[in-house]
Amino acid sequence: MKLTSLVGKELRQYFNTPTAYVAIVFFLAATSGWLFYVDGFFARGVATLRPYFALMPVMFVFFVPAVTMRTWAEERRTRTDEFLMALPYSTGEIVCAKAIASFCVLALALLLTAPVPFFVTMLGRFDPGPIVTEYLGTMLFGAAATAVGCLASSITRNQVTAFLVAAAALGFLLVLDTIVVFVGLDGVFARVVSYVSWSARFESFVKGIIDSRDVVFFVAVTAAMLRLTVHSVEAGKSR
Amino acid sequence: MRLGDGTRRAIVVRTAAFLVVTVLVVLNSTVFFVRVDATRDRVYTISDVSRETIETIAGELTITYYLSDSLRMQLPETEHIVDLLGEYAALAPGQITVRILDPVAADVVETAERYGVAPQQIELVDRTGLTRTVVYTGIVITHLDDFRTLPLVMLPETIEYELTAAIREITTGRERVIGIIAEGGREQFEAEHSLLLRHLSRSSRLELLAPGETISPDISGVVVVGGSTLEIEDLYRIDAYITGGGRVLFAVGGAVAGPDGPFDLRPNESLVRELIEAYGVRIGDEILLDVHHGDIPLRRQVGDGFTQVYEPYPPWIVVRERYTDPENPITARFAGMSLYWASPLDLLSSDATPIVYTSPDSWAAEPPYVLGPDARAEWLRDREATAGQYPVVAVVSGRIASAFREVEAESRLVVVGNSLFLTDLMQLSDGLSNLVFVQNALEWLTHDEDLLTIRTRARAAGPLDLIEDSARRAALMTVTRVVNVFLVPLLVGLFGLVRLIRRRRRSADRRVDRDPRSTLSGRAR
Repeated sequence: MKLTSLVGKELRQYFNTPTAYVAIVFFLAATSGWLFYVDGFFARGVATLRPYFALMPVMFVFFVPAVTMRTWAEERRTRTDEFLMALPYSTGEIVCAKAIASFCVLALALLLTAPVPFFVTMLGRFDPGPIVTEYLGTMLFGAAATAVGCLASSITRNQVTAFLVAAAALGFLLVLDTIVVFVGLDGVFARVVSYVSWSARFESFVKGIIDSRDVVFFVAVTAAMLRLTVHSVEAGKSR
Repeated sequence: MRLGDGTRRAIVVRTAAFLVVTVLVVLNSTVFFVRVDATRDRVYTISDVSRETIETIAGELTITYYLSDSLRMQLPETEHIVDLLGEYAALAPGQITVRILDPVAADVVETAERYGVAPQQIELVDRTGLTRTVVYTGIVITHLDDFRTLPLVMLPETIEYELTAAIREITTGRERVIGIIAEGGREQFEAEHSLLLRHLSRSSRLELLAPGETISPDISGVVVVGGSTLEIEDLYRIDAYITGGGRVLFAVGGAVAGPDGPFDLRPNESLVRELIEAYGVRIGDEILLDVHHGDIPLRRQVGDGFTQVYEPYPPWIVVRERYTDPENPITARFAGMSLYWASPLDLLSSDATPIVYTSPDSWAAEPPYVLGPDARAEWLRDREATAGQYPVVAVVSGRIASAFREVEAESRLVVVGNSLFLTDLMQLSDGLSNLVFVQNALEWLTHDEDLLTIRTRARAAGPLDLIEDSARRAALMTVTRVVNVFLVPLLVGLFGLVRLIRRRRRSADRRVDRDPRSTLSGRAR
């Protein structure tokens, strides 16, 4: 109950400023515009939304930091974090509430993409299973990205810095497997680094597979990032 | 507020402990995991057919996947193949051993190449940019003293079929041999059918048979392509093969190209049509045209030079999935096919069943054919009189009587009213699903129907063809674009704008209400 009211307060804050609306409008227009005008979905004429969902992680590199950049940085800048910490909530509860509120914005953006499968399934015989797993994978990826964004916001007072740090971190995690090749790593270490590449973990969902390894990976990353955010906020009390 | 050293240390310890537990959970998940395959045809899950095949294996079987690390790093699909192999091993622990080896790192390049896993030169992105790299991606299955090689493994969608077929072949000692009787010389046939030959040779041993050559009963199935030059003795041999229990795919059209090029079409007077008619399927003289058609590549003069353009051409029919028989194993979950100057079939026997049709908006051109790319008015000449839906592929199954002798035998035939659909034309006209059809037909003919279930579930996503009316389809595409790219974002933006303006107004009103000066001035009024 306590958490719900905190999440509600955070959500109201989101939708009382233009940031959330701008981010959602950009996200919807960019993803759909890319699918129908750049990728040539109709010209290809194949009943699959794989290219659409494969693009989502790239979009999240910009969209998620735009949503999460103010979560802690703004509190720090306006010094309202001290007031927040004086409330009868634990640091963990406050961190979770802020992350859940950010995730709700992302979930809303994803919900608003529903007209895409709704309309295209009138044109061809789509396999509904992969569309469901693609949404699930996108949500899990989004949750982990949101946690990274919250952590980035908790280490700075400046929203722009928070945005840049989160975008750089997400971009890095996304292309980790490609970086391995560029750097020329090989052997077990290279395989481990490739394993933690987010794009590799996202691949199964796009194909229509729910692999418990990928689910555990994204849930664990989300939990770890939130724990680090708690750590960062608690350590910040001492500064 | 400053935290004490003890509190700070406690925070660090808690965080470190949490991260360690998280890493352990992730590591544990890599050992104990489950995969749920949500695709309609369970494309990524090992099938009952493969399970049954594995259960019947006697002796130990080793599957070695020679896979270069560089390729594994850049091609996530290879991980699915690795996972699938793991499931084979899990089905028969101790009996099936799976090894994943990078031939270079494991120093087994010679062994891999000796087994037929050839190095492939592909373009990979590395630190120096796009470079050509030599990689290995092939599977070798060894059982007792025998082995089978899948020399180039890239697609997880088809690997189960190839693997199970190979395991079945190596453990039963049965090899599928497909004979092909082609018109024209061997070289000409190979040049015109390179895609077909390459595709079929992945799963069968191919034998190109010269007309008149006796067909060995060891041949699992025969494909007769065209057949316009076949003589009565050649047909007799085909008939003897069929009445000996042999299975045949006839790809024979009612028209053939004359000496003046591909548009000089004339009725096919070949005796092979009479042979097929004796089995219960008559191939018509007409050439079918359809509103669902492909484009034909043509050389057109543009300015001073020539350029290749693609123009709509109704005699190149595109058969849609919904006009195929979903109950027949050959066309179950089938994406359709392309036919070039095809002829209709007339079924004369109760054992003959049509499995592929043209659309209801097709029609037939009677001889003499005038079907050149510029004779558009002539295309429509017989449309009113002949409009309707026509069968273009049929199967005959049951006891088939000889066309020459008083004998009959249990057999299976597939008849396609077109021979050109097997040529490399399929590459020009986006008709690569023709290869799927031929492969399916051969599985059915050679009684590997259970393998066929693996193949048909592995098909690619279908086309966007639910709406046949092109005007309605185009309208829905436009609506889809406008709604998703413009309307939904616009509505969100407008909603946000209205909400923010109302909120700003409300807070301005509240400020005015709270302002003592405004209250005083209000009283004064």
